[in-house]
This record gives sequence, C-alpha cells and structure tokens, in this order.
Amino acid sequence: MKQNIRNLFKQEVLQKKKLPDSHREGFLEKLSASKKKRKRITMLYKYAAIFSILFSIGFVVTNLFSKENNATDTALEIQLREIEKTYLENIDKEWQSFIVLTKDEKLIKRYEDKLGELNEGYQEISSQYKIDKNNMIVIEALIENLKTRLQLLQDIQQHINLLNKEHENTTI
Amino acid sequence: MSEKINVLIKKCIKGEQKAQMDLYDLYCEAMYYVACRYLIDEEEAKDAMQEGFLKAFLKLNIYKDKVSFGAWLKKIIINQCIDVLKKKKLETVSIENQFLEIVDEDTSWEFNYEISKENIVNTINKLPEKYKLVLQLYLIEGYNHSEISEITKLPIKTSRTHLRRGKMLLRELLKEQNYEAKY
Repeated sequence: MKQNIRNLFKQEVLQKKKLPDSHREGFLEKLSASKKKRKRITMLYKYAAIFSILFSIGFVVTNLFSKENNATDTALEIQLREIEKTYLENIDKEWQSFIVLTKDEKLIKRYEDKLGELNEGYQEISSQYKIDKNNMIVIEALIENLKTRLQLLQDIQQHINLLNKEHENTTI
Repeated sequence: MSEKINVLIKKCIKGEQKAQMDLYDLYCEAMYYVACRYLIDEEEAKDAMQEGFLKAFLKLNIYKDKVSFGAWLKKIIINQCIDVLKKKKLETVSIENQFLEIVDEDTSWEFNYEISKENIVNTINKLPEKYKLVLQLYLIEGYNHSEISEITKLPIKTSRTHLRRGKMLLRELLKEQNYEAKY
C-alpha cells in the first residue's frame, strides 16, 4: 500500500514546543534594546535633518552676502578706477606743463626719478590690492600715492611759477 | 481569535509594549517549534525566533490579512533561521551541476504506507543541509517552488534540483530503515 506523504503534512496544525524558562525576560530585554536603538537612529536622522537645514540656510545666506560683497566690490572698483584715472590724467597734465615751464634738465631728472619711485610703489600696492580687494588700508595707500604724486607736481609748478615771477621781477 | 489578534496588531503598530508581549506569548511556542526544525541548536533556534519577532514588529504595518497572521509570522521566522544558516555557510549546489543532472521523472510523493510522519521528519533531519531545507519548506511548510526560491534566494531550478535529490535520498534512507526494521 502506498500513501502520498504530502497529504500527511497538509493538515499540519501549529505545533508547539516549550521554551526555556527565562525566554520572556530575554525577549523583553531585546525588545527594549531594539526600541532604544530605533529611537537613537530616529534622533540621528533628526539631527542630520537639522544640520542639513542649517547648512543649506548658511549656504544660501553666505551666497547672498558674497553676491552683495561682489556688488560693493565692483562699485568700489569702478570708483577707484575713476579716481585713479582722474589723478593720472592730472599728473600727466601737470608733468607736461612742468616740462614746458622749466628748462632745468637736472630738475626734470630729479623729479622724474622721484615720480618713477612713486610709480613703482604704486604698482606694488596695486598688486596687493588685487590679492585683497576688501582691504581699505591698501586702497587708501593707493589713493595716497596718487595724491602725493599730484601734490608733488603741483608743488614744483608753484615753485617754478614763483621762481619765474621772481626772475621777471629781478629783470624788471 | 482573529479579531483579538487584529486588535493586538494595531496596538503593536502603535508601539505598545504590552501588546507586543501578548502577541509574543500567543505565538512564541509554535514559532519556536518551527525554528527548531531548521536550527538544531535550541539556543540558536530561540534567538532566531526572537529576532524574527522583532523584525515582524517592524514590518507589522505592511501585514495584510490575506494570509493568517501565523503563516505570515512563520515565513519571517523561517527567513531568520535561513539567514542564520547562511551565516554558517550553507552549502549550495553550483550551477554547473544542474546541467549534469539526469532529469528525474519521479514527481510522485507516494511512499510506503507503513512509514509514519514522525519517521519522515526524523529522516529529513538526517539529510545534508541543502536537501533538508528544501524538503522542509516544500513538504512540511507546504510552500511552492517560487516561494521556496524567494525564501532561500536560490534560483527555482536549483531548488527543484535540491528537492528531487532530497526526495531520492529520503526514499533510499526510508527503505533502508524499513528493511532494517523488518530484519
């Protein structure tokens, strides 16, 4: 006689097996531990979320500020370029009139050297300004340099004018 | 009974520890029995069963009452046991071997009438792990090939091969035992 052994197991009811005595306590411990772990993970996620929000806010804000900074930079740059241009034009004009006025080549040479020195100094400060565009001290130094040059030329011109007048007076 | 379980499940989803313990108390012995079929070491079986419960609590919100809660839980427990077995490097048949297999047409599960259920279960336990596992899932738990493939993560072809070979071995071993008992 044969039998299909699959049928033997078809009416399988859930059989039970007795567990060791302390199994409930052990499970309760595992259950609490898993809850704590999950809590820790959710806290971690929360912290991560807060951090990323703060980070993105920070990023946006710094971006905005740096854009503003860029805007002021360019405004400052334009202003500085204009100042530079007017000064250089004036210096050139004064220099030309100085050459016309004086025939003293030694004097021209002396002032040429002095202006050359000032120009070198100006180039130096310029390169510093390119590295650190926000440094007011550098910008002030640049303007101061230009001012000194112009002042120098105006001073000589005044001096020459004075000399010329004196010369005229003496000849009269 | 099922109404009581449904209420318990809802409470468990909310994270009520008492309900979780009640659900554990209701099913732990049956699930322990299942786990012991796969893991010989009783301590290991107990741990796997408890880990399975913890996983089930996390997945409770996706449980649909299409299947009984016991059947749903049993599948999770069996999966947990198989994970343990895999960690212990469960032997698997290489794919090349499949093609060398002579197709066995024996699809019948007709065995000698004298053989008892207990005898079959005991003999299955003596088989190599890979055959034992598929035979248990097919014969004792009543899963079909696609379910077995899903649980064991083996291709259906491989699980079919394991089942066929396992059945052959089971037949041989039972015959030997029957022979020895008679003489």
